[in-house]
Amino acid sequence: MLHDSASAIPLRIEGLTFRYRARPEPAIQDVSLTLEKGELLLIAGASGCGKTTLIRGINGLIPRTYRGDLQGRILLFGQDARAMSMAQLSQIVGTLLQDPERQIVGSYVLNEVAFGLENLGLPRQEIRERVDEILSYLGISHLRDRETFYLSGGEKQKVALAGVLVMRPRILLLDEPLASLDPVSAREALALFRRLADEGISIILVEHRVEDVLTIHPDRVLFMQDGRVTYDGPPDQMTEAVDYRQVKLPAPLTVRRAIHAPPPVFEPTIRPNGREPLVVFENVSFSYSEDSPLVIQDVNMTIHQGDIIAVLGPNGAGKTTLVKHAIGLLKPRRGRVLVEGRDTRELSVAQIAHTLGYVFQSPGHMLFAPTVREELAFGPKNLGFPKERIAEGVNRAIETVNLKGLEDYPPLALSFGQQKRVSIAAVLAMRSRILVMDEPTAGQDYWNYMAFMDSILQMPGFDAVLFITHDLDLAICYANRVVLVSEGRIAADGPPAEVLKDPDLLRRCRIVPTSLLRLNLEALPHTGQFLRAEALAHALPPQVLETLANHL
Amino acid sequence: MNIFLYLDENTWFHRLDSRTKILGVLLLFCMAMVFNHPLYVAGFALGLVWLAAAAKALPNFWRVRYLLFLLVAFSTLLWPFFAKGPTPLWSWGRLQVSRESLLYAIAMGLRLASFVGAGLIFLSITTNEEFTQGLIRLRLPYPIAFAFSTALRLVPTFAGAGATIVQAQISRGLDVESGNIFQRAGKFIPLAVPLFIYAIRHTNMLAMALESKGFNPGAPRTWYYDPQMRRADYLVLALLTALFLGMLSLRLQGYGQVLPRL
Repeated sequence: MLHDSASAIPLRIEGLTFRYRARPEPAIQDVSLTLEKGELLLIAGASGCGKTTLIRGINGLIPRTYRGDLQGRILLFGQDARAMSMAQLSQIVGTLLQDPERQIVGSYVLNEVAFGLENLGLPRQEIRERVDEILSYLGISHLRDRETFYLSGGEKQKVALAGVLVMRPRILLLDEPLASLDPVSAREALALFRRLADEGISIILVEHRVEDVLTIHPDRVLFMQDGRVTYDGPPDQMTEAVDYRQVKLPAPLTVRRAIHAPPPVFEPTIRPNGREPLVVFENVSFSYSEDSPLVIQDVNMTIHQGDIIAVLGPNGAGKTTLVKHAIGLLKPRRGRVLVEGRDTRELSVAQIAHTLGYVFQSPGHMLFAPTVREELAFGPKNLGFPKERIAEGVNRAIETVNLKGLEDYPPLALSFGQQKRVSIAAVLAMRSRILVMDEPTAGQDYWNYMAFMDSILQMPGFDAVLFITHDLDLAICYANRVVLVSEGRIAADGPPAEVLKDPDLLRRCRIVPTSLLRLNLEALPHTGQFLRAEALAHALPPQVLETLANHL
Repeated sequence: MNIFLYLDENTWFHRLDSRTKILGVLLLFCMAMVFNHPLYVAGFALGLVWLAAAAKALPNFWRVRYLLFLLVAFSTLLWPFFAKGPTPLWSWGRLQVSRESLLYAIAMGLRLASFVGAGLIFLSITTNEEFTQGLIRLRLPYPIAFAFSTALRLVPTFAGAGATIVQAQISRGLDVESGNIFQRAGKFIPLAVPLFIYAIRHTNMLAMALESKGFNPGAPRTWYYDPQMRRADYLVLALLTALFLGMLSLRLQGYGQVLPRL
């Protein structure tokens, strides 16, 4: 068998079905696919479609770590994967997990990259050569002696990838590699994946941000739905076969498809009325200590009633620092922040919570109570609300975020999307006037986060909403005001159609224009405002639409 | 914020082999135990300060200056009541302070400070990786050494998650600063549960990453780092051993003690 392994197909999956031991339904059913040498295969699909299970099957975690019923065969270079040891598998299949933070084992870049080779027991000299070679290949030799903990998200991912590639796998599995990257880093990562494939590594790239991946021209696309493969073929024919609401397609394609669907109904409950200033930043500058560099500087900004603000900018620009000043978790070093007219220095975070409710990026950072009801009552109780008012607020919040029937469930046993809704409800129950969200789309797929944003913004109870994001399209679809943050300063502040029309400004702020932005800019004379792709399909006269779609 | 005490300098002491550093700090601990006369212990403590200066570890001493001060102060205040000596200075009912017990107390304070100081010097010149590598070379089984180094590696990660969790709950009105000790203990639940869950999830993922890189603690493996004992290392160990034996023999001859106890 071994002698012809070089000519054999890297990966062949035949009729793979797997059911996790604790679940009644199979997670994937009758999946078959082949992967050629140097082929870049995109697997797209919404959460729960079976992408991750498939990856675990290929890299051997199924059935070794995850147990259950497995049928079908996985052949790696003609050999049955089940007959191989993990050490053998690890030299053929390399896996980059979704969150590089959780994949890194070593405290230093060197240790991290050398770890796999140490496991294989290679001689020291060879480890040295291979580590240096892979670091320079990925262009990160300068990180060699750095501590992994202090790297940026993009750097962490490259280091994790180096640790995988150093084992010279011939198949590379990438599980949502773009999830924690900002657009510029994502674009770099994608270019790197293309290069690896061109040099002969077979790659499976699992991602729901299809639009981004299409820019590097995957050789083939596989679309999965409910554990089955519903499309397997070239990318240019995929668009007709996949559901444009489940994965993010380029905007012109979505528009073309959405013409035949009923127009979307989206009416945000927040309307610009009264323009009462709720939070005022006056010349705010901040640094973590007296002599360290300023993280934000000279920020002037007012949050009015009726604002739906997207705070947009690359990772590390100071977006979160800015917002933490509004909720009083940080106090300015210079200047001041006024919340409903009072300086945050004189207020406790709890007092500010009456005005601003902050939803952290990961619901796991706040959920702890044994039931949803107790979880929601925690905030109002801390704020000293009377009993009846707490009960009433909790009930209203449960109804608003549509968690009825789950009141007595433990929040930690809910799905990620439900947990996210519990964390919003926890803010609702405190009756904060402004909802503040940090990366509301993080950890959710396209379908889920669009539905989530739709429901949050159509829900009564808030005077203003502010969200931090590096996703340009999210700002286009939902915000009525964009605050562009770059290197600790506010680079622009205004309606999306004004702020985002300047390509030079976007480039300076490390924001990559998307197809939706280009389409909206072209359509602006007809629409007068930015719209999501589905809405554009119905807002434009058909002939205009046709020219635009062809033009792009 | 840096949680670890390692200072990235390139002194002669930093370049020592990690085995030398580990054995060396153990010898320093032993030396701190030898005398109980404050002058002798102070002499040893001064030696440590010189060592710290040479190893550029003084910034860490500055970082923990209050701790060092409190150790000396409390020890000096409390020890006299527990150690008895022949020359009474002051007494009040059954409480009695003698000249010897006071001197002994000062010596104990300095001894504790010396312990902390020796440990600080060690941590200032040793990275976590070196420490683990040294333990392995000193024949600690690999699975234990690996668990140890992974725990160290996860400290800043979990500390970061912990800080975020605290902020998340404070912004929901949790007041961690007021209340008596029992009320405060209750307030830790909203902080402890999320951190615990985070830790479980994180380690679960890490286990998968380890497996997919062919990790097998029982199997033979190699190491990228290849620490070598050089002449300087043997010199340092010989010097420290000689110093320790010299101090020990002085003490056995009756020097450097105010009370006949450890």
